[in-house]
Amino acid sequence: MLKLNSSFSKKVPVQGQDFSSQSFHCSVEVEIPDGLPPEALQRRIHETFELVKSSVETELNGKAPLAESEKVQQSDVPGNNGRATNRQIKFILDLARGQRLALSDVNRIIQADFGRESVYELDKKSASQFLDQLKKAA
Amino acid sequence: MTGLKEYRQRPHWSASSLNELLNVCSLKWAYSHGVYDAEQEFTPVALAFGSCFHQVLEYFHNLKQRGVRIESVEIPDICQVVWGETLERGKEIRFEDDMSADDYGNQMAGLVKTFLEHADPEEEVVSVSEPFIVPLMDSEGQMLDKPLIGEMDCIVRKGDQTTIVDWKSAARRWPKGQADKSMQATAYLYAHSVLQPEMNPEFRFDVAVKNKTLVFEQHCTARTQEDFARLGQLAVRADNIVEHELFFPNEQSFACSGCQFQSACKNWHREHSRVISLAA
Repeated sequence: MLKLNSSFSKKVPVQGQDFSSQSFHCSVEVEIPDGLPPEALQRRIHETFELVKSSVETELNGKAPLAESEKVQQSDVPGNNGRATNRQIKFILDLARGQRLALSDVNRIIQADFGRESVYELDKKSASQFLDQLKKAA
Repeated sequence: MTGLKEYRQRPHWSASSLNELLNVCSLKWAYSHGVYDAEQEFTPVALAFGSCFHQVLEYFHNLKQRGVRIESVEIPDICQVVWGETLERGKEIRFEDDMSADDYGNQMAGLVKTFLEHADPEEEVVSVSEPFIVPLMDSEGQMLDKPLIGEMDCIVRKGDQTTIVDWKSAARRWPKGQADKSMQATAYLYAHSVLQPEMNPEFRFDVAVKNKTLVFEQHCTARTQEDFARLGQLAVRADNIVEHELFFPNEQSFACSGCQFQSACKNWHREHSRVISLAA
């Protein structure tokens, strides 16, 4: 495994106080598998950095933090256009199997509820919603 | 519908990738997947030819599915157009057998014509170039991280029987048992069984052989749950090979003569450092 450490910091002036600033810093370390092609590795580095950067911006702008399940996806392999990650799909299908749902059943539910043909076509947010749906049904 | 191109964007296995890693040459896999840095020196003509052959058959089968009658006279023109585009796009296509680009174009027209002439008129085309993505399971039923992706060339139906068809062009006749050993057939039948467990399709290779007199062959094959479990276990091994970088040249591979990475391979034992890109 390779380790990727990505960090981002931003200084902003404190309103109403001259010569003063607040610094926001976020750092994340993730493991990435050996053997990724250079493009995939580059994409991974880029997206991890984007994640760190956007997290700092989110905190700065006072937006709500990501849901727990979304954090899991974000730390998984990026580079698939916002689609649910392999790890997220594995969670879903493992949970579904526990409920005796085959892939074809899962895909049918996803077609009905999310208008997508396959669990692999869900975006991260919808996958997260579907995961919660399955957890509730468990 | 989401296509194969998008499925490829996530870490995955495909039948051809597994086959290249496990059966052809793991070092070639490492080069072609960018694990080791090596420039692709040329495009083997067989690769360009096969890709073009598929495109032309895809075009005609799409017409057939829509009920459009195919005129034989159209075949050479379509082949020339698609082959011309393939040659333009291809990077340094290396020709063999003292054949020119035009010779290959004519050969393709002949193969496609042979193919279409042998098509069973009672077979209905259900779908053409059908992409799939399914989870892989090891032999104990545990799901692997990477899914299996692929594209079925054609699915046909005759009566109650559904058949997955894969189109091939070959330099020589297939030996007995080749279809039964094919990892592609195992992977596609497995994917179909996961996506549509209620069905029990057959698998058939339709092969046009480039003999002097062109030959058309059909090879049917089937698989069991044991074969699917074995496929999953092979994928586990493939993951291990990649994770631990156990890549080495298959010195006696049948694929060496047409390999695009011959120079890199020659120096592999001295220069096999891994590619590490630093950014961000």
